[in-house]
Amino acid sequence: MDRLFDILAFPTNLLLAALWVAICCMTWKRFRFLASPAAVISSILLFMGSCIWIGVSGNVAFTGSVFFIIVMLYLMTVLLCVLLRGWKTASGKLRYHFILHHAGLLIALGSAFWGSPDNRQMRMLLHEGETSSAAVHMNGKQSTLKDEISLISIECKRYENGTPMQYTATISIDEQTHSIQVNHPLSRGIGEDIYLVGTGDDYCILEIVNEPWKYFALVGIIMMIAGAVILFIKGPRS
Amino acid sequence: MIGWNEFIWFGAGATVAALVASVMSFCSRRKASVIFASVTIGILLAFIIGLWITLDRPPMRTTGETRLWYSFFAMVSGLATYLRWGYKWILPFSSVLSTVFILLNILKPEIHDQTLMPALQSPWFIPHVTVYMFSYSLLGCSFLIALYSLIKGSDEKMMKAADTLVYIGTAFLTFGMLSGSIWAKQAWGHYWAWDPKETWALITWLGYILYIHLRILKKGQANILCILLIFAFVCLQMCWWGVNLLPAAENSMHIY
Repeated sequence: MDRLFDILAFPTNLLLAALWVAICCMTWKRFRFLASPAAVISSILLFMGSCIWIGVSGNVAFTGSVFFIIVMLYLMTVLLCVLLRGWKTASGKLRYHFILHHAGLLIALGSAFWGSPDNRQMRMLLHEGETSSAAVHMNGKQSTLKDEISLISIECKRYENGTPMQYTATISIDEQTHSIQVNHPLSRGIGEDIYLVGTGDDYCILEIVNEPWKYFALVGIIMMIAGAVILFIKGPRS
Repeated sequence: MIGWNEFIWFGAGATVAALVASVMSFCSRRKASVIFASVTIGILLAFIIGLWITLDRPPMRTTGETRLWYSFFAMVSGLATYLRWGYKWILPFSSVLSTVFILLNILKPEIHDQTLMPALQSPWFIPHVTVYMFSYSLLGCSFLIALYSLIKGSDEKMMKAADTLVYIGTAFLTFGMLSGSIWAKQAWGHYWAWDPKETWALITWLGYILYIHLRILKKGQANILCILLIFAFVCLQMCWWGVNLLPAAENSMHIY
């Protein structure tokens, strides 16, 4: 699976995504079923059914199964074909709300789907005063970071009753000092963020997350939020 | 200086103004109901600003402080919906929701010092939760209409009422889910992690999205649509509290 993911990583995934968009654009008029009500309903039902299975069984690994991948691809293809068919009215006017809902969801889903082979998630344990570049992938594989990270100090601010208010890890990367807190990750480079996920008296656990496609996901999410605002304003008549 | 000791006066004022706004709304006195709902919001906002100045920090850290925001945003969402859609019942509805949180802050003063864990200290926490609660209440109404229609027989008027509730509720539900995903990225590193709560939130959203598409495409009989609304509301209950009963919830990031 890891090997397959390596093959599908950038630029293969970008080429495949572009090829998929091109095929949909060229053939959607020929395969009208993909933009039909039956396709819309069946794609929502299939995706919903898959989610119910994950929700009931707790089997998140199912998202990596062939069945789920086909369902996702079918849902995205239907979304794209529906978008190609309905982005403007017969008189040539743009349907803004329709585009925001459908393109927003398509971009968010697409960036998660096509971008997943590029995602990296590693953890590292650092003791106070220690400098290291050794990290562990979520699958247990050891890895070496391109930069060394030092933990300068770990601080816990407490409320009057003694319960923790906020943990702060002061780290040094490339001779530059940074503070990381829960909800306040450190952003570095394209798509890379460092999170504080665990602390002790003299150590912290950092998580290095690399998601280069996160910007596309955010664009999709913002488009969907704008679509939700229009849904509220326009109501059923939209 | 405005502190929690003064809240009883602000809370009482806000509750009375909300009550008057609800009565005026029922009596079709639109202008008066909007004024009194705005007064409720103004009173709560004045207290929030006063508390902010007294504490010398944003009041978003303790359970009591978050309840304060819930009561504020419940009225804001209710007024926005009333202004747009003019439903007589929406202001009484949001007033009850707001009053419950005002009463919790008056009757349970211990929550004023109940601190929030670091993961919950985010500007996204309050809008995320408030918007969800407001959407739950609207979608709860659509569930009641669906149940009534299924038992007594449905007509187009009832279905149109359900449609509007589902559209407004889904708009808020969408914002709740997506604001949660932006917050999740900031807190945990991923927009989506298939946590049990996230999964059931997505199932609920898909249920209402399916209903909207069936209505737009004019597919599905009224009875099937009502059953779908009931099913979507059952999924919503699973997302809200039922998920905690599942074995998979043991490792959920939403269990605090």
